[in-house]
Amino acid sequence: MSRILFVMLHPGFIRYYEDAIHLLAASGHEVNLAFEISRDKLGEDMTAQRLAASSPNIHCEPAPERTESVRDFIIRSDRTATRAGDQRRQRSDHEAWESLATTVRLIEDYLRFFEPEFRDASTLRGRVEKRLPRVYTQVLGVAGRPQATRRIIRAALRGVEAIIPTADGIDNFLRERNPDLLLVTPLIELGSQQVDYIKSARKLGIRSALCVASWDNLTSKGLIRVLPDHVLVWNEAQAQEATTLHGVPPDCITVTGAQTFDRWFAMRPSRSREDFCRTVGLDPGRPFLLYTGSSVFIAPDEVPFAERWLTALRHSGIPRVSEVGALIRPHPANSRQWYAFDSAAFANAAVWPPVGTDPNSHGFKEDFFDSVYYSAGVVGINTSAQIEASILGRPIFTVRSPEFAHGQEGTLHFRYLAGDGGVVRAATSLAEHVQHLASELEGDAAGNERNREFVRRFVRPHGLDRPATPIFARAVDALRQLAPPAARPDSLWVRTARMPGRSLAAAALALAEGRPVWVYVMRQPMTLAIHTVALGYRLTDQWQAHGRPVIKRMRRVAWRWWYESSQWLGHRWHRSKKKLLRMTRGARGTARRFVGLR
Amino acid sequence: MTSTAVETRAGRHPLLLLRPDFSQPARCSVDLVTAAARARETGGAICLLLDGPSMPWSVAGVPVVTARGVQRLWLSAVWRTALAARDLRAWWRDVAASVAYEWRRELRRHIGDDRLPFELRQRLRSMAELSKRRVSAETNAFPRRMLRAPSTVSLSPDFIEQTRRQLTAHGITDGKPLVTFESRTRPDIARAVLEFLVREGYAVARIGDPDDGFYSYDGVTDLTRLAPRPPSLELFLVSASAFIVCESIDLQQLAYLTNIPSLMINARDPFVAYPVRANGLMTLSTAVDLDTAQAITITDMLTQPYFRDLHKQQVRGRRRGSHGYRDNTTEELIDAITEMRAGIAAGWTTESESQSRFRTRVVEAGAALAAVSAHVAEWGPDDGFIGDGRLVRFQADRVS
Repeated sequence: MSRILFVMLHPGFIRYYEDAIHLLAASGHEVNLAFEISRDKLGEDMTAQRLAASSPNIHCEPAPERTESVRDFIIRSDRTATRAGDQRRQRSDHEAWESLATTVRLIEDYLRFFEPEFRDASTLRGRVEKRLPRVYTQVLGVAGRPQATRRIIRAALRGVEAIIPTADGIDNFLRERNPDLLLVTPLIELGSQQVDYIKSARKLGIRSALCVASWDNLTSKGLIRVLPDHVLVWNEAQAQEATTLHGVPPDCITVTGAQTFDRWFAMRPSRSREDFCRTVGLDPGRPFLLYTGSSVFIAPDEVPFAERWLTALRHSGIPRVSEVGALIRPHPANSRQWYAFDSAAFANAAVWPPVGTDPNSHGFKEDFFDSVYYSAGVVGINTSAQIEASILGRPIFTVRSPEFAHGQEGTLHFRYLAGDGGVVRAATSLAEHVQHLASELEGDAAGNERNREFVRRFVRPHGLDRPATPIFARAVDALRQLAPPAARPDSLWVRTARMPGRSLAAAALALAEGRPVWVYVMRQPMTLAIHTVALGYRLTDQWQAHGRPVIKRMRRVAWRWWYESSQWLGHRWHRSKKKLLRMTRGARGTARRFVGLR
Repeated sequence: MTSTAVETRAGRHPLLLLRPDFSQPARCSVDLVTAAARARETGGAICLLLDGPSMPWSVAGVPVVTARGVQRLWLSAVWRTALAARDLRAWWRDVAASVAYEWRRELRRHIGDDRLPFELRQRLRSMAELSKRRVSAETNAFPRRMLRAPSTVSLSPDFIEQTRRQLTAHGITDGKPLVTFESRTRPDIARAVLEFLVREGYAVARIGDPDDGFYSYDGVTDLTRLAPRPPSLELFLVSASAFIVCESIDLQQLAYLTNIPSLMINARDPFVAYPVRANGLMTLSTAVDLDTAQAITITDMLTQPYFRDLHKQQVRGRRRGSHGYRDNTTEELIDAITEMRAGIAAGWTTESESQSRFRTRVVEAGAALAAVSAHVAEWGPDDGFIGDGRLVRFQADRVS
């Protein structure tokens, strides 16, 4: 039995590979899933539990805990987040290295968005900028623009990346699990720490592969900073992206197809159209359009647009369009905003599933399938639901709107939908969109052919009748069977460079706070001053506790001594005085006697 | 928001130096009205430092002089120096605030260090609190009191004639009373409101950002796609209107220049939108708490958590807040317009008890929040005065 270790950022990534994992487990492989962070926003942790329970060959566990996660890094650069007693915390060497790693990776990701192909992607660049402390963005905002300096900085960053040591925890974890193959996803998160798994695998001689989870992964996120041995992608377009944007050698890339969409080819509606329309609150006698909501990055404020869209439909003056039903399907991770949408204000319009529905609840996926299956067309800003609609052969539409320019023209993956060979009919205004709807809702043979061609190219590149899941599983199995690569322990120069690198790591840890430079300059003198004052306080305390009682005692002793001695002296004096008096009296008597006065 | 007018003296007479920026009509109008109010208060004059064409308006009751030759050069230098000094003060204040802020953060790092003696930590804590108070001490309040008295500004006949010609070219004629409409509300609502206005005998000019999905129709002139659109056009439109319906604060402020009644709709911030003059009305959007899916009350819109969320969205650029907004419905807007018309007809002499009660609430809430929110300190009550305008009656009645 072979061992496959699949490291995922969080259990939410299971949905991309669930069927493939089942297939690998059924083939006798032992699949260990390790999650870097737990997440329950959309019930992902439950998905992991369910998966583990489904087969004895599947195990789910948390990945080794990190000293500092990317989230910690970001919190530290949050201007309001310094906590009392922060300086009391013991900062380990390891934490400094992790901080340096996150910094280096975020800078690389930031520089990436200065490349010419990302000239319209200012929002993507802004997303990284928010995560980086200002001290870096101020410098890189200028230095990162010319191609030449960008290259120099990137080369330097690669050098720094090389000297960052692997985490002991991860090394030990890999040694204990001893996998035949390490799979990692998504790896390209901004500032991702999953890079450390690839580095550890290289060091220990374990074969590694990146599984590209979704269609936008290689274009809208970070870079593959340390190359794994293999990269598994959906299609030729992603293979091209991996080569040109990430520098992956073509012979390391395997095209498998989009296994996550396989079930869309096999699924059938869970109920009749009438039942479905009645359940969601639409008129079963009329066709309906499905509006699919987009993620929060693409459409943070989507409700006003949807209202304008619905109004444009209702007032189009074209009966086929004005009377069509409208079903709004909020994006599961961006659904809250739809609470502000008043569907009652529009005739024959509904929001389904209701906002806040658990994506893991029974019937959620079936609802989604039925929504697309029974719709006359699908409308959306930029979402993977448009790919799913293309599988079911529905006409797909979008409107290029200025408020979503960052999520449409500002992303590279939108071009697959709306560019040449794309499957989406993109309008530049709602008026044009209405015309598109009017012409295509009739049924468009050319549109069907376009959909099929897109699906063949983008979703199932090995043939429309060849599911991607078995191809993916076979590719994983083939990689597992390859001989393990030679272990690549740290070279001498890397170990030597680590000595001065420690200072760099300490500086990165300090700068991650994102404070003005004068704060770092002032910090040591201030600490010294405070500790000097503290010394004063301590001395006072010591004085109060020990010095003062001693003085008091000494004073008392002195006083007693003085008192007693004065008493003694007084007494002596008194006695002496008396004696003197007596002597004087005696002398006087003697003298008188002597002079014969008596 | 501070005025760009600079106070100086010419001999014994106070002089307010002003350089109106016609490209920003709203700012320009606030500057002019506050300068006129100040000049009236001090018995001084306004001196305009114009580079280009002469001013298209005049101010009654306040001498307005235009400096020329050497005098102009000298006064320009005085004005520039004063503004530079003001900017420098503002910069210094920002630097001081930033230093105090960072100082506080550094102190906080030590406050939690249990190796330090307790008394010292207490002392550091009080120092940190002190620097916090210093940070939040100074803001530039919106000059509500200065804008309170109806301004005595009127447009010059030449300017009126010139702009009228432009508007006639776009189909706006003198025959009907004009309403300027500026809103990005739902097109179906906008359409119903515009139809109502047209039915009531108004000519409507629509300005603002072009809105995808808007369909023009009879009686409504859509100037949103007019390019280039001179700023003076908006100024004239507003001043030629019987009243304006707007969603942006800029237009509301422009209306202060020539005392045009304004109806601000779909306001999300009761402090910013609160009308200064008695001829102003506002309606608030319905805010929905996105955690509970419940619409929050207007009273809740005067609380710190609400403003904290609004601030995060508007100032710190958070993509998602805890509140969503529903625009005013057609019925609500028609009610508001009806109230506006009744107010104009009656001379704004009466208001309901609920409306005056709401004003008191806004003042009280503003006074309480100003200490913790710089935004409210800027836009809230100016020395206890929020405005003589009011919230529309149907919403004021809902406030318990």
